[in-house]
Amino acid sequence: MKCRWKCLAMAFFRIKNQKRASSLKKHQMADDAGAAGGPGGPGGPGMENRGGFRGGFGSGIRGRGRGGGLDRGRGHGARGGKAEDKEWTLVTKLGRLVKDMKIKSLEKIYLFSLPIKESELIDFFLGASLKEEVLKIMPVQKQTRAGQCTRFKAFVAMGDYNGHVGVGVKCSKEVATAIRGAMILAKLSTVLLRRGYWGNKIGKPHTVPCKPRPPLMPSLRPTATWPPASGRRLFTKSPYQEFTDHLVKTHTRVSVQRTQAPAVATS
Amino acid sequence: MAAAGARPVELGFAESAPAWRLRSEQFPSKVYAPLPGRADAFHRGIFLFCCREPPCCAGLRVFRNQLPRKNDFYSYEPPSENPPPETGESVCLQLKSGAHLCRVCGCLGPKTCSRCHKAYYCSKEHQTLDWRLGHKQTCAQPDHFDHIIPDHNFLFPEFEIVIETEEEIMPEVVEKEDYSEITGSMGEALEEELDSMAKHESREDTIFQKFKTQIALEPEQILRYGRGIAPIWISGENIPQEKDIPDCPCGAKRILEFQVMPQLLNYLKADRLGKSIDWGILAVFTCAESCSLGTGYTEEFVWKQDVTDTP
Repeated sequence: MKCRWKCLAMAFFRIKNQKRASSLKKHQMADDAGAAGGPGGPGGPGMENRGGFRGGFGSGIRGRGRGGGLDRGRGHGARGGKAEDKEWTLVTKLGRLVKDMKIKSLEKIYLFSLPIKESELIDFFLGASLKEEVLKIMPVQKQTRAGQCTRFKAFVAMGDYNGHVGVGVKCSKEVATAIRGAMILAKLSTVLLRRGYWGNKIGKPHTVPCKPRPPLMPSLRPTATWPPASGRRLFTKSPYQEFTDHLVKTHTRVSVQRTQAPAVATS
Repeated sequence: MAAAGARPVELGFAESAPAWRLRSEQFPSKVYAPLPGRADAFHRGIFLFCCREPPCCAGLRVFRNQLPRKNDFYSYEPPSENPPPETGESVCLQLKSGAHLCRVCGCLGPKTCSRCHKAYYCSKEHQTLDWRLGHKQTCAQPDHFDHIIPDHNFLFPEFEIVIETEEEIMPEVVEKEDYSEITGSMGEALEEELDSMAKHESREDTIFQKFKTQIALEPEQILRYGRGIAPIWISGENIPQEKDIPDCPCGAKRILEFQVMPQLLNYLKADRLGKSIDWGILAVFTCAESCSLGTGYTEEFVWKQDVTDTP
């Protein structure tokens, strides 16, 4: 009655530590049936003719290893490289839909104001063109009985030079942790920029329409209905603009804005 | 009851397996969880059901059943590891006791098709479903006992869960956000602006990130099993309190037995753009005493925690 399903590409192997006495083998068949309630009641017992014993006996006879010597353990490849392989396992529904290619672009997510909770989604869409920059690390201190406790606050901006920017801030005891956390938050806070023309109308829109310095101007609204309703997230200045200004100020680099004009691709 | 931290957590991973391994006859899903030291709970299974139809997409119920080793249903000896010699029918729709099973769901099927009397169903809905999906053509034929059952898109795909014990990870230091900031004097105005426009980590973010780091060691896990362990929550909202978890009818409290992770939904392939089954985690609470039921089923308690919608 049920079709056989092909092996998932996700199954990967690790040589299991044989000394570990994980001999309880539990079987869960993920084929649930029926609307709420128990039509399974009368038909239930008497069906499963297997597997129960491994567990039942296994609890008495420890150290048997998984599957009684049968090579059906799970395994991994090199454990160290796990973080780098592109097999993201996403836990949110949005993540699963993106992975199944049911949602094709980031703009769709913006259009419906869906909250992005996993930074891997941004990696998925923007991928290689994503650049991150640590804007500032500043130490903050708290006075304790035993002196001062210093933590580091990291500001990270990230963008793909094509209309998506995000800024994140994270405080942590170690600089590396703070930077890592801030990068994730920067990805989660990605917004879409609205670009127009100022002066020459050559090529694609390239000017970000807002004033670069305070007094605070109304926030930049992207063309989509992002940002979400929580008002705290409104930018008083476009982070892209702020980013470029900051770079101008601190790195004495030519403003990147105009140089992006020829490089802007179709968004 | 053991302390929550002392017990190791068993992680479940789904793997596909050939059909002969998964079942000899038809039956619904279960987690097989025997209790050591209890003669009457040698075979102990917990069944989790959920509804996949769009308007409902929840309807979670969980049942527990336990049997001693010597019982009327399973044989006393463990089953073999080798495939059966004859493959024959891929699925047998009749139990050894003579009861017939519904063609669509595998539950007890006392009703039959009124024309051919060869197809059994548990309810009218399943009969209509099967009629549309192929029984209409085969019903009229005299000898249509087809072994190939079409996929009614009713049941979820089938996998086997393989268990591993979780390795201990070093707990990360929990960071509190109530520090007053004594900033350096460099470019204060700039920092304030940055601070106000950059994304800070909200409480929900912290909890969610903590969840992600805890599963990061084994991102494929679909089940976390451990009687009495503390579950890892995916959100700060909707955490059940003591009073939310009802006691077992026998009088004992219910303790957490296992939690189902959202990665299982990757395998179930039930996601749709509109409303579909979705959960953050499902925490299953069972009777602490695992009270004896004869050969019947007791309903246990399941708590669904969703991923929060607020950013």
